[in-house]
Amino acid sequence: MNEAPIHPDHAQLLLYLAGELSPGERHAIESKLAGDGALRQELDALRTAESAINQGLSSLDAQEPIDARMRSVDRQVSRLLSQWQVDRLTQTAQPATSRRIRRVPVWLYPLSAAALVMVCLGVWYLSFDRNADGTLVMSNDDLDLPSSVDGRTDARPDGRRWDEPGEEDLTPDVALGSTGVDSFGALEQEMARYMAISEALQ
Amino acid sequence: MAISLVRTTEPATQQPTDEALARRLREGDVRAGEVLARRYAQPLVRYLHRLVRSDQLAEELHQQTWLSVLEHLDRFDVGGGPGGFKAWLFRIATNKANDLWRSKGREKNAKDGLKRVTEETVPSASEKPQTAEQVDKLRWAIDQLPEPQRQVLLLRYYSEMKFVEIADMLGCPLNTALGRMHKAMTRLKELLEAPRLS
Repeated sequence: MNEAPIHPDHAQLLLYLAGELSPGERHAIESKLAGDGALRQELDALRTAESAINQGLSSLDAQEPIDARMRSVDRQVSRLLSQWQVDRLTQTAQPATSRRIRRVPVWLYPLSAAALVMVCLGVWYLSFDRNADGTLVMSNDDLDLPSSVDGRTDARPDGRRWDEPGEEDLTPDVALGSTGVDSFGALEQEMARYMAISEALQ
Repeated sequence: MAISLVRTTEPATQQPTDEALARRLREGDVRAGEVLARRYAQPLVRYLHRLVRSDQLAEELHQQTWLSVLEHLDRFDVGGGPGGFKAWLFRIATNKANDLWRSKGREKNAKDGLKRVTEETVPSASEKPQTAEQVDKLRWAIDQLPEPQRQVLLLRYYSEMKFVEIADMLGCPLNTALGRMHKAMTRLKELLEAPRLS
């Protein structure tokens, strides 16, 4: 919307009436008013109009009391402020929770424990030396066999050599199989050794 | 270079400034918000009432204004100097009133409708005291003003802001705000002096 520009003198008069001129500007307009009757008339007209408007609006407000309405307005704003505070606190609390969840997800605990068990089992399983067919490599040192009475390390207490098969060795073990027997025997030996070391330490 | 002095401490005897209250509100002090709202509730509701000519709409707009204040409080420059909050508050209220006018498409035909209503409802001088008739006439005359002129006139009266602040608030040059005020005053004077049509 194009608005017709205000006359510079009228603009100055409005600011003069409002007391919004600098001392220099006020002096300038007062000098102009002193020598310009039309400008003085304009100033009087504006002053009268301003006074009438101010008095009129004041009377209008007095005619329309809004005290009762202000109580309702007060309540509305109080409700708004309370709700705003609740929203604000909720918003500040939410990011902290989400940060905590992001840092350590709950499902990671059992998963980590399971992964750790798997890795330990794998390392333990691979720590044994194996033959080409997958059976465990056994040696006398590993087995920690006892010495015989006569000092021969290759003799059993019953007089047979350690690598000589006996009655019990020839009996087939249906449940475990030959490879199973070897592995199971080695494990038994290993466990016995660990238990002996453990007892010695205690 | 202009240097703005920002008061950092408040004397115990003085009321806290709007900006200090706004700062406290931003930090979560709801009581400060209530003090601030109460401080401007009456002039703001009166201003909105004169703009939209309805008690209910004025209350609604006042509520919307405060909702907007709370939503955008983080963007308000609390160190912007005195008068900043008041100008910001009235600017939001004025924008809300403008939005209402636009959304309802009433700006064009409201004048005719209101003119008819006020002319029909205002009683003659013989039925009311002279002063009451003058007040009614002023209400009618204000309603006849174009929206931009009415805004400047009412802002000046209800917000008590300087012309330069009003111009800044409305986003127009100072001379434009002064021009609107001058036209509003001249027009009101004409309307108040002219005999009423009945």
